[in-house]
Amino acid sequence: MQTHGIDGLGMLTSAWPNLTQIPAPTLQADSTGGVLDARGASALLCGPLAIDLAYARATGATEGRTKLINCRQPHMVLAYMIRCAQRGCHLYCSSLTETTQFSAAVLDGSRIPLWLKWPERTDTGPSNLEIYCFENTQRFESLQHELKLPNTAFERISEMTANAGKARLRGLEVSTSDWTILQQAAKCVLVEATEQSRRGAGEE
Amino acid sequence: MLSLRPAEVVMNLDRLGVLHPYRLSFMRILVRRMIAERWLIKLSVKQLDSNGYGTAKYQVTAPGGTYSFVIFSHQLDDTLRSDRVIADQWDMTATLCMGTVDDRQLAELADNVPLQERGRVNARSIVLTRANKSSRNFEFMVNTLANGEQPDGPRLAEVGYLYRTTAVYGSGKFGLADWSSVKRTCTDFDSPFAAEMLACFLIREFSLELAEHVAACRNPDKAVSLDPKLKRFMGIGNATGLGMAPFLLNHPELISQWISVREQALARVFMYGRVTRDHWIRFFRLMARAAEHLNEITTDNLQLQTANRMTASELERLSAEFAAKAPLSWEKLSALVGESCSMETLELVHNLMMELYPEIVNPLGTDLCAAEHYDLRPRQSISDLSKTIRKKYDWVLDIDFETSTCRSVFWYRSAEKSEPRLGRVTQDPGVSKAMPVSVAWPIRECFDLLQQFSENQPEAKVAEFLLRYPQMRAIVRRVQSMANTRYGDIRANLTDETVLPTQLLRCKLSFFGVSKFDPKSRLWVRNTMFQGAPLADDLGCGASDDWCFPVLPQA
Repeated sequence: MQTHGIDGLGMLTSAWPNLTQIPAPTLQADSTGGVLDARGASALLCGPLAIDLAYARATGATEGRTKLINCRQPHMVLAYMIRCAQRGCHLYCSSLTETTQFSAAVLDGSRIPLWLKWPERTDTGPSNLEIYCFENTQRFESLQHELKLPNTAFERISEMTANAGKARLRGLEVSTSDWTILQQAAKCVLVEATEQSRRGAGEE
Repeated sequence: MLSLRPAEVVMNLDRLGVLHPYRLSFMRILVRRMIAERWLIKLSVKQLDSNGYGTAKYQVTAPGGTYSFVIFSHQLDDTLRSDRVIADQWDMTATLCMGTVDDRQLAELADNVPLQERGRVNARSIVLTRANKSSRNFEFMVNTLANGEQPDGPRLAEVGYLYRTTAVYGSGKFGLADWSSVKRTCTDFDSPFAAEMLACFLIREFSLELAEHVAACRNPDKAVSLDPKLKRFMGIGNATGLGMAPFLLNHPELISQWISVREQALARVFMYGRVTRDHWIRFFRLMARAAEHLNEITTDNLQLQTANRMTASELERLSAEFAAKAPLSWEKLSALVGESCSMETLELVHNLMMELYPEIVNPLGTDLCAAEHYDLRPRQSISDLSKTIRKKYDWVLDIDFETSTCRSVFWYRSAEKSEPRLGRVTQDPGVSKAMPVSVAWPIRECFDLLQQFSENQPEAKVAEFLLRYPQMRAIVRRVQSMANTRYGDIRANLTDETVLPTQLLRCKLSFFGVSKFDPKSRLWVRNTMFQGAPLADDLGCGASDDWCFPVLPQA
């Protein structure tokens, strides 16, 4: 997300409390998609499952649709939407909770959203998200018309592009507080060193 | 249509673990490029005291730009000198930067580069590295030169370098420029590990410069420079441990591509390599040189010593048997070697065959990058996914995981500098934090779950399977992605008690162009880089590309 000009690092650190526990999502399936209950987990964890399900259900159908309920940081599905669009489909998703107000549309093959409404606050409570996947461009256009989505890109696109270039050229600036959170995250996978473990690194 | 060897032959770790460097190894490609494009390498700053401590800077001028290699040479207590990643002081530390470096940048680098992992550089730096002296060899070299003499060749051959690198970082670590940026903006380094190889080449240059400098300071009236032939024979040492192993497993598409390129090169030689009398004579000359090279290697590792001697003796036997006969096709000769010699000898013979045909083999050097793309295919049916596993990972399904040794070791990152380590499941803490290095067991587990799941939902798609088993997501993506590659994953169960990580290390190092492998345990290996390669001063003077399997120069 950082290379897309979005503050991925900031989002990751703010989402950290919802990333440490991964409750298994539950599914109620229907013919076009289903309802996936994230049970309070971040959309960074459950969003890809929901998007992939919508994508799988869109095969040969008008659309694939999934509701991701009870998730946190719904806007964190954006990176995976862009990834999914590279498979050759259009995606639209919208937060159903008033407070978070996130919605995005990504066209087939595009790496930049066609439309993006970004929440002003990203640390709010559980939210519900509706995800649509279309193979058919006409169906996407009719939804666009129905929802009155503009044809032009989000006004922050130029800002995002500039940020992306900056991130590539100068690398990431990591604040001390973010660094502390990242170190905390690292501890989840690091094993305390012992004399025995040093032998496991080749020490004679 | 080229006939390539099958994956079950090529991806066997026992075979990959005995490879030697070849014509398309990254060091060879870099040196050829530097010669062809006449790169200019100049020592532009040399602020060293009489002991060789201080700052030095090399300026590199290449077609795509100018680069600076900034070196800090430090005094280091002998007791602190360590090859281990967890060391925190070194004889020298360095960085390769884009463009020129002014005084302000130099001061910033001086504050950070000597700290290595504890410091921070910016994205103008491409490589961060450090090296230690080979104490015995460095002092011996300095004393000899200071006395106005040239060093004894056999003594030099024992080690073959003055400094040994212990880490060469790139690709975004510690604030360094990331690979996508380097590939785009520094076209001189657009092939794999080119910048990292250049950094090692420049450490070699500096180590030789430093020895001559200290010798001259010690005895200004009598000291001499090292004979250029011996200089070329000196390489740069390297110590590599488990830190390199996760790369192999995290970039399977790239590794598969490297291996595929080697196989294509070999198949091209079999198909298009016309065997003239001259080729035949040159081939057996190279074979003699390779045997001599192997015989010159000294190692305390008895197993490797035996293997080197056996390979050398097999090469000598092949020479005696075939050199005087009428030339055979390379494919025929390969088949005969395969029937009577070890895997190591066969693969080395293949390297020598490829050496003879630069016009056929070299163009493949541009294919060594891979646009790695690991993506899930949620629409694939689970029956199709099972079929893929049966076809591409039959070697996994053949493993009996009920055997007690099959899952007895695990890979993890230590809190000490995030160093990868190997633990025993029954003895070491941290199994729950194991790194997903091995694909064998996760694929077996995934396959079994697919069978169970398909009993109730035979028509289901991967997306539905993953909703039920989200923990399988990474391995499904791996299987689906690698199914599109020619060679797939390296075929080894890396959680088996008998796993030899040094085989993985040697596989990767051979693609780098490293020679003289000297395993210090089953977990780490010393080796030599750029031995026999041209020096920086040779680059503009039509230097030779013929430096594989270097041997001690004759007096």
